[in-house]
Amino acid sequence: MKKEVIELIDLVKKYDDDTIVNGINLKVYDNEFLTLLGPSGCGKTTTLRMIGGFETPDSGSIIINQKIFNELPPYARPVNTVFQRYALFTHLNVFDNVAFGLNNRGYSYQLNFFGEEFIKSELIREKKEVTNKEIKNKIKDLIAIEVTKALTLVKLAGFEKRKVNQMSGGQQQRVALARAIINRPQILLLDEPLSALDLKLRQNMQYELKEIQKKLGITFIYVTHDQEEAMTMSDRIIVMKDGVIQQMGTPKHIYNEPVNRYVATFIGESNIIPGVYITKDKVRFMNVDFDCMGYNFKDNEAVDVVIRPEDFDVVDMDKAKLIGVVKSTIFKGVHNKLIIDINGVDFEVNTYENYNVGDSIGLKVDPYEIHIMKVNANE
Amino acid sequence: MMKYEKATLQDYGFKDYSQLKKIYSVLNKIMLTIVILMLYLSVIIIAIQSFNSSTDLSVFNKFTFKWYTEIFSNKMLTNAISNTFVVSIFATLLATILGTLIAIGINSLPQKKKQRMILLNNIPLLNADIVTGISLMFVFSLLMPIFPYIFGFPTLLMAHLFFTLPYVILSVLPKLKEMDPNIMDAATDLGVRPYRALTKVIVPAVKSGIFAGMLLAFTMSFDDFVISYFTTGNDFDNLSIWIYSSIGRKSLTPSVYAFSTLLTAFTLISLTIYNSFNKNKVKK
Amino acid sequence: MNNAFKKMSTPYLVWLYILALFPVAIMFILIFMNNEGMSLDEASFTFSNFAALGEPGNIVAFINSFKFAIISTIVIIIIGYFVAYRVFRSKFNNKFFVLTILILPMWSNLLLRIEALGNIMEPNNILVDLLSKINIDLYINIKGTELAIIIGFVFTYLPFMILPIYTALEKIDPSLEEAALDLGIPGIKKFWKVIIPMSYKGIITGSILVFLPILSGFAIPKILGKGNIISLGEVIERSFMNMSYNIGSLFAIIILILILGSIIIINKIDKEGELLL
Repeated sequence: MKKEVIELIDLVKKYDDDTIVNGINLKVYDNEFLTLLGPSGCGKTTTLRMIGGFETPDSGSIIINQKIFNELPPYARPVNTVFQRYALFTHLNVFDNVAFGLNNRGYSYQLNFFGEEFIKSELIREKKEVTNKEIKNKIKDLIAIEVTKALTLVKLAGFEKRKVNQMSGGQQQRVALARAIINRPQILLLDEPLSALDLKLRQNMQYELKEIQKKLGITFIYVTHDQEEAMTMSDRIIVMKDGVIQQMGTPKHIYNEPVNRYVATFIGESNIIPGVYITKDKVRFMNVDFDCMGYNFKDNEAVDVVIRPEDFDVVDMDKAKLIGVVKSTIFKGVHNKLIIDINGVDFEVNTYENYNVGDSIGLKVDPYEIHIMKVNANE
Repeated sequence: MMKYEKATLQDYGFKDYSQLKKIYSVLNKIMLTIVILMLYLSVIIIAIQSFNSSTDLSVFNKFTFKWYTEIFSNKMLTNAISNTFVVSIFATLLATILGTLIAIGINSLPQKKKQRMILLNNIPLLNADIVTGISLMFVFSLLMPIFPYIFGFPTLLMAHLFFTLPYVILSVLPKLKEMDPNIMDAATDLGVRPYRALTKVIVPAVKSGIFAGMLLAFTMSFDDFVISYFTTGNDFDNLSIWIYSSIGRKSLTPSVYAFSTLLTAFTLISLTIYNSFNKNKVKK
Repeated sequence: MNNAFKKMSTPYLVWLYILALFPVAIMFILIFMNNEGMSLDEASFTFSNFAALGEPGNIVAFINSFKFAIISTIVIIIIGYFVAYRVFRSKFNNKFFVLTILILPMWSNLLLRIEALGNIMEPNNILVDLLSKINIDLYINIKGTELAIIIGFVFTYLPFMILPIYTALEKIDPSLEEAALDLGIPGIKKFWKVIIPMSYKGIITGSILVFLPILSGFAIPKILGKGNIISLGEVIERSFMNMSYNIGSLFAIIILILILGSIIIINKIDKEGELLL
């Protein structure tokens, strides 16, 4: 049974008359990589900031470690944040930036952090007197060790003396990460940290972030509008729109079983066609009956059918269930993206082979690759 | 529904200072009020004096408006006042127009030259009034063989221009820097010639800087004493010089206080009106 | 764009050379000369003017002015930062308006203001008179003291410190403060470790804008010191009024060197000329 670290209950946040976050209910577990995914304005960043303590909810509760955290300011929470534009202290070098939290928290915090008994035993082992002065020196050394550890983890070992504005965006991002994780937070919040980086760098960092999360074993809550990024890194994705959670689940689950039109179009590419669920395991769309599996709708219920472009197979005309004409083809490197016109409806199909505009083409799709969604009245 | 208890600052090693914070905030407000009183103390005294019927500055006799009406009957005073306005308005206008053009020129220079210009531009600003006044007096007196009557309005105007230009330039330059460098290119691309583009494109983009510079220039010019003292002629007094000599002759009329209070009140009211006007605009 | 406008600032360069640099050069030469008034008859090269530096009266003037400048600047930094910070942190809708209110007294004539201040620093003054009418007795007699002069300087030059500090505070990225909070550093520690280091440029600019005028000012010490306390500015003024241009130039050049030093400091800190506003 996974341990719950955060629970959000009916969380609401308004700005003037705008309801940015409209009743979020969410449980976050220990050691998971959770992503809040959605377009600008969907409330994901605001939710993150409420967890971090930078915004106060108008109603609802934020429960962390079984206690209500709504009123607690950010500095007291067992949470650290990696900000979107890094927020590094330009008047300090890398070492001082990373050590900032530990250096400035106060003596008793530092004692607690490293363990008073541990420090004392170390001093005795090193044949030093156990005085306050010696303890403070020892703490200084221990902090330096922690900084090195953190910088090594983000692959910036040796950069201690550098000035932060002489570093590239990717490097600054990693300093910001090191500065946060050195404090051993239970929960790390990341607010679109990779958005300012170029594609290749971003992809590398995504991989590295995932590795770091696994190594540290703490909870990461990540905010992004890039669905590919979310799919790559997350254990669970929360898709949001207009302040409301649309769907939550593993990347695979959301990709394969989108629960509504919005999620289906937001994640990956998809073709959405209106259809009718004739009877169990049979659905009709484009005037053709298809076998499907795994759904339990009412007989003759109107449904939305979702088929991903890569799930269509190009077959010979006599084996095809749908026939259409190629309207356009774009070379995407890995595959070709074709727009096929079937009886006036455009379908997006990915193929490895090349086809020409004007070609007639036959398509079929396997039953388990037909996804069906309830029709939502207000979409 | 589980009943959770609230997390407290103490749980995480912090003391709860919220009581102290309240006291702190009240103290802050008190201190701020004291400072504002400090700044306005002299202005308040001047206002009190302006309503004092006695010319003895240490005793308050009766409340009166007579000094206000006498402003206009005192020829020397009105003369000095109008001179001050004329010089300051003229100098400010010139400084604003020229300063904006010069700032645009400086902004187009390559980095090294730009820095040199900015360095030179800082000199009139930071130079002691007295050194500036005396230097200008030197230079102008060198011109006397050619223009024997130069001391007076012309020199005063030039002197004021000298120390107000840097303020305008220094207000406009940062706004130029913030401006998108491509908009000039866009204008020329659309067929507009450079100097026309200047007025149509650049000036609107930096108008807040121009406005701030203009205000600053006027403030500095209107109140100037030392530089004007050294660069004016015998017949052309501005307000500060007139006040100085009046104090020296112990013949200071309270009408000056009346004038000063009027000016302050006028500015305060205009600002308040402008501010509430703006607030309404924003609300809409 | 740049090509069209490159030449536009050249006339200004010439103007500055003539009106700013040329007189300085003259004054510099005058230091080493020994001549009557403005004529060059009987001029000779000499170091005798430097003797004036050793005259006790002048040394006192130096010390006085430096004292005033240093003490006033420190007081102004403390009060000025406090005010700038409070306005910055406040929830006023139009902070520009508040700042303008703070500058407004500067529009009243300086001499009038100083006279008014001097007035209430004497035992027989109008405030005392008014207050006695409602039976409050107050005795103040600080006119003619150094305290009076410093008070005068502080009240007068405070706004010059508030603006640059405020501008510097505005430029701090707000997410830096959130980062400090996030890392567990609230309140006063955050102020010292993050806000002050990020706004020190404003303090430096403000200090220069305040220190230099105080150092060379002569009206305020003359009026509030009742003529008993001599300032550097007054020494210079007297020299020039007495036609001892050489000695006057000497002191003027000394001040100028200090000013140039400050300009170089400013240029090192602020390459684009944006600090003053």
